[in-house]
Amino acid sequence: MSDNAAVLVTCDLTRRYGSIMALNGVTITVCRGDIYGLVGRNGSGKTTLMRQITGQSTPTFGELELFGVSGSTLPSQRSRTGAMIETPSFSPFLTARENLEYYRLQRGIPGKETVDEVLELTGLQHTGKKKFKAFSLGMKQRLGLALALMNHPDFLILDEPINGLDPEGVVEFRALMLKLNREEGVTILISSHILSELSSIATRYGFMEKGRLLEEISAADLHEKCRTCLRLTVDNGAKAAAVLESALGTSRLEVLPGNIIQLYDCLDQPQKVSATLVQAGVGLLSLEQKSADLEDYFLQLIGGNSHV
Amino acid sequence: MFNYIHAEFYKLFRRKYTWIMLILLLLGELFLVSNLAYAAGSNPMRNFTFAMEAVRIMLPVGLFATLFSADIVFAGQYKNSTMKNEVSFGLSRTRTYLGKLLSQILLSLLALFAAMAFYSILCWLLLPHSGGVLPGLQILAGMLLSALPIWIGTQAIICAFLFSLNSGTAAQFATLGLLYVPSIVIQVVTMITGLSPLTKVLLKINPWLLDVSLTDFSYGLHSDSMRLWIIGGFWLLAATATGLYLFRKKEIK
Repeated sequence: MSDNAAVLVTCDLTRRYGSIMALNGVTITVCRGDIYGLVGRNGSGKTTLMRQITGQSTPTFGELELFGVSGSTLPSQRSRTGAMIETPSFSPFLTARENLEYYRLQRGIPGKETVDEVLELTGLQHTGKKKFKAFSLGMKQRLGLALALMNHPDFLILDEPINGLDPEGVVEFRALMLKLNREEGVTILISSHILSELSSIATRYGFMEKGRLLEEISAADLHEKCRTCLRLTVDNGAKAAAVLESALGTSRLEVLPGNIIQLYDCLDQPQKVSATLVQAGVGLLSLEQKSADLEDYFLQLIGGNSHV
Repeated sequence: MFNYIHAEFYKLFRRKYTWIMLILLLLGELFLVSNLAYAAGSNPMRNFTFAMEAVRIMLPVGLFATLFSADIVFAGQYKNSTMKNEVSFGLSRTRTYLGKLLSQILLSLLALFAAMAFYSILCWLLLPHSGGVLPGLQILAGMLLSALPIWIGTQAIICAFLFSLNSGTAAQFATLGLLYVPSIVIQVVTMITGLSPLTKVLLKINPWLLDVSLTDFSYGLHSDSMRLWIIGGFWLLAATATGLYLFRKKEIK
């Protein structure tokens, strides 16, 4: 497999529940080494997509390919993945260690020490005889992650993994994901409502809304689109652009509809910019420094202020 | 498959429920044999061989016992949403289904062995056995071997319901319904309509019902024993094929 080979490809993936289209022709590609952030509101289809990938549900229509394999041999490829979809679920009457040992035996994973390793990795090594039913949400999340990591997966699928984690847990989680990705080459597909967390680790994004994939974009491209600028509202956009280009010697600007100019130079010299325009007889109606983040970008994309 | 069954036994041996059910079963036997021993004081016919033959009356209890062994193994997989952990790892649904069924059957066989060994030892300790124990044990073994396929068929039925329905209680009720309602319906229809063409058809179905077959067989008759194996085998195959088909289509949550 080459460095940028696709780990996951979905083509026109569709899942219908009665009259509800939970997934509507979703086509995404997750390449090896990606940390792919799936962004969308509640009910946008993120979990449904992950459930198709993990085999918990079967698509009504469309193709799914894991590690270059599709069709009847696809399920066997899932042993190379680790998944945590929705709330982690385990036998309530067993401890963390017993639950993991049960799955280790079931999956035929060699080495009893594997259980201790993942317990330590996720900070659950001291839970002792405490049963799963007595775990807090954060501990359940950690155990879910431990199970997902137990088979040393090539591809991790995590649905809202930060839910319920305390601040320390969030920091540890972020560091662990980056370590797995950078040092062990684990590809990660992750969804989260905490977009600031997602933006600190993701290398690629997929934005979903109403079962559709609105856009796939790399973190670099998103950063470029969200970069800081001076946003000017003038009475004549074309004239203002010409003045700025000649007087400031820059071409790093965009003229948007409504006589709005986004200038990516002279960010620390707003007085100079305004003086230049006024001296050239351009009416300056407003000037502000603007920078978008992942959340702004998503809201702009779905065209509203709805909650993510 | 070995890994799957190994894991199931690792889990069920760590469940208090497993041990509580086994202790209750053994206490029930202790109560029964104590009463037999008390009665034996005034009736010399109540000896070891008699106690072995009395197991015949208790064979239908095995049908109910399957409900518990299946529940112990299945361990509320849908209620606890743990099925997704198996499916998302890529364990085939066929392996999961058959692994659970085989674990159920193995657990039942272990429990049966423990229960019958305890029962025999109690009877030997508390009841007169001057005529020897071997003939009694042969009777016991023969009866258990005849009843075994019917119990295994019942295991397959509850397994199919547990995998198909989201509630364990609903699965147990459905199994009890399938076990006992058809024979009652046939009895009622026969009473109402007499020997009508419908009744003739129903009466042909009647011997194939699990509850009827377990009460209407002659112990020691080879042909009857064979009939029970055929009936049990039929239910095992039919229920497993249906349950597996439904489980493969099922949405796991």
